[in-house]
Amino acid sequence: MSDHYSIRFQKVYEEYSDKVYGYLLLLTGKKEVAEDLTQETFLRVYKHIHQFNGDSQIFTWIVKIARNVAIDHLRRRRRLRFFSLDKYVIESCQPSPVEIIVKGEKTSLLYKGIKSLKLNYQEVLILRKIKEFSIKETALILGWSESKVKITTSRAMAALKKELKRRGEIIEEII
Amino acid sequence: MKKSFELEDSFKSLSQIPRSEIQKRKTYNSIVQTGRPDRPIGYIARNWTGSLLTIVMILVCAAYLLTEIKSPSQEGLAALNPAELFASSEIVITYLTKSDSAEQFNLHSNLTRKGVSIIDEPGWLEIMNRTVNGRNTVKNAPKMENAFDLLLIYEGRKPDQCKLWINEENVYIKRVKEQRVYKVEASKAAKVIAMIEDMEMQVQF
Repeated sequence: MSDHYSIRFQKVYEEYSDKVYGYLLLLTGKKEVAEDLTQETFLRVYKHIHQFNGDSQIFTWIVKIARNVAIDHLRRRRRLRFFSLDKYVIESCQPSPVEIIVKGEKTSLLYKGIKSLKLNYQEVLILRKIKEFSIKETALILGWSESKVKITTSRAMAALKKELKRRGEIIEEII
Repeated sequence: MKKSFELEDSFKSLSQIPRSEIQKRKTYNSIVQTGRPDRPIGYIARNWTGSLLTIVMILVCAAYLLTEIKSPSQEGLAALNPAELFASSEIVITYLTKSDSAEQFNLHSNLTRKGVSIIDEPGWLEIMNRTVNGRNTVKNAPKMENAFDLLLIYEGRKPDQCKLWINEENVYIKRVKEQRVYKVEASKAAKVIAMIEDMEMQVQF
């Protein structure tokens, strides 16, 4: 930690790595994967922190990197699944890591509802509703127009409510 | 409204996900050990002194070498010319004739015509070799007067077109395309002068 950039990186890591980890855990659903992707994300941040020009909030810039890392991982996993027997494995009834972490039934059901949506909807809900990024920041992270963010958020919310309703009477209490 | 608020609250609870502090430290250490930040232009700019000095030194050396090759010093031991860098071929025959002027060179064609002397005498060839392939150049050569055109034929190399002139018992040779002037060794100059005088009488330049 001898130079200016390393010191700056340390501060950035302390401040934002937990939030990035949370974001990646919501996207991937696995603690180990989220930790690995957090490492990959901050490795890229470490190497390119001097290139951050301040056009956006640094957290927005980091989440954009994290999102690219996660998308790469998901694509890789999809390719692997195509050639493996994993796709035939029946999903376990055990609670997901998020369920264990949050330990709240309603929150757990909400998470399951989000995860059952298509990736576009998951991403926009995680960023807009959970991480509370603005429309502009979300557009920047996802590489979309602001109007697309608005429309997709609206559609994602509708799809989520529909999914939660479908999942049972208990959901009525939430929505 | 109440239901919406509850949904918003549930979203917020998903935002608060705990993370192992030990794992966080491990990840940090891995990052720092794995990759060093790429050096930005700004970093180089701030530490420019060393880089600049190195570049300047290289440029100065390159310029010096180029200068010495292209136009070497005119006194003492001359630098190598490009031809000499590759090989010093032996002169196998020479042609000599009287010059019309300092600028013109008359030994382009018809080398067997009257007035052209063909010299392949070993002693002469050795003197010519030693002179034009040696480093014995002079800085303030006397003005070229009553010169001869001297064509040096090499084995496996293009011929050299030279001017030769005599001044105060010294013999000077200069390649037409070069500025530097070679001086025949003092001990050999008398022989060269004597041979030229013989040839002048025989072939009537």
